Amino acid sequence: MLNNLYKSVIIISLLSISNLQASQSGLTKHLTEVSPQAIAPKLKLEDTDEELIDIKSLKGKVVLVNFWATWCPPCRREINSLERLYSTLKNKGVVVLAVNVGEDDATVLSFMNDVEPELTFSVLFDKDSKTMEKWGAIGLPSTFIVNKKGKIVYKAIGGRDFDNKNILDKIVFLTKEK
Amino acid sequence: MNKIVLFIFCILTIGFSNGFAKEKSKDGVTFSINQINSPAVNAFFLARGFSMEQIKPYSDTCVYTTILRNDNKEDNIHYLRKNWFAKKNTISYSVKTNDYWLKATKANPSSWIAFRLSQMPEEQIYEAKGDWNQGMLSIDLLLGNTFDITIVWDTNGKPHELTIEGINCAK
Repeated sequence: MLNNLYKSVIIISLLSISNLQASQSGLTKHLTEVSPQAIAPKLKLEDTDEELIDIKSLKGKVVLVNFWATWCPPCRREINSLERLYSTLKNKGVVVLAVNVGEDDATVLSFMNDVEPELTFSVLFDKDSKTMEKWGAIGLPSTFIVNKKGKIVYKAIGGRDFDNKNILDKIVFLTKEK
Repeated sequence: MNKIVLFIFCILTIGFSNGFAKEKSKDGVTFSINQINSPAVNAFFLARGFSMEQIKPYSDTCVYTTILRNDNKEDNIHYLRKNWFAKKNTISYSVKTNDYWLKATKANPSSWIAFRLSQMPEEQIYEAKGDWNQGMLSIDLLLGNTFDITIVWDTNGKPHELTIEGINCAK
């Protein structure tokens, strides 16, 4: 039965391609500066290797925290640009923490297996959404940029084109701060 | 599992739509709305741990995927979803709250996370230059109706509204 349902969805999806354009919003090429800057809330979660990642241990690095889910269309649309950003800037001390909200390991790992190119940044699990709430994120995706001192300096609500020059330049600038 | 994830993605991205997405911009804000048919709504939430009995009250309403975007150059916008309304023949229909749906569906905590996050947030501030969200919106009308929807927001306390007319709720 699921197979038939699945086939139906694919057929209707293909028939609806023209409608897709009308129902998608473009990925934004802008980050909002946070003022006054605030210390980043606690973030201590397991990653896909079951290792605890604590943002406190990342002081001295620029950290991009992205809250997402596999079923969230803008999250999926922006994730490749997030990987490109990470590939470009990881050697400059930039860390990406992609925090999946509310899903189980199998769902997330299955999705990651299908993404090309492969995701090389850290994917963490916020299964009860408590961390997302502490960060004040309301919708998905939501993104925060934390500077070397552990303060939130930029934020973004909704999908972003993370490897566009405007965003890359802002993050590169943060890597040069002391 | 891969098929299920792709299935869900197709539903949300394309909206399992009736092919009549509508979009309108006013005062730097763009709102678009596109119906998701009941089988697709059911399939999405069944895959998120709901039973058919739990989700049927929701999927029996007119459900849409909506996008709200702030492309103002300087001003942020603030909205309360409870102020949005649909109108048919001079009668207004509110958008039901998440609390209403939590009680109606009796969702367990993990399913509720998916439900809550898949809806257009109940209150949000979008910064200038492109903050936006995509989320589901339920209008409590029976399938087969046509209505107008008005969304309301404020910019620095100044109220704005945008109405899209003639939205179909196809059977």
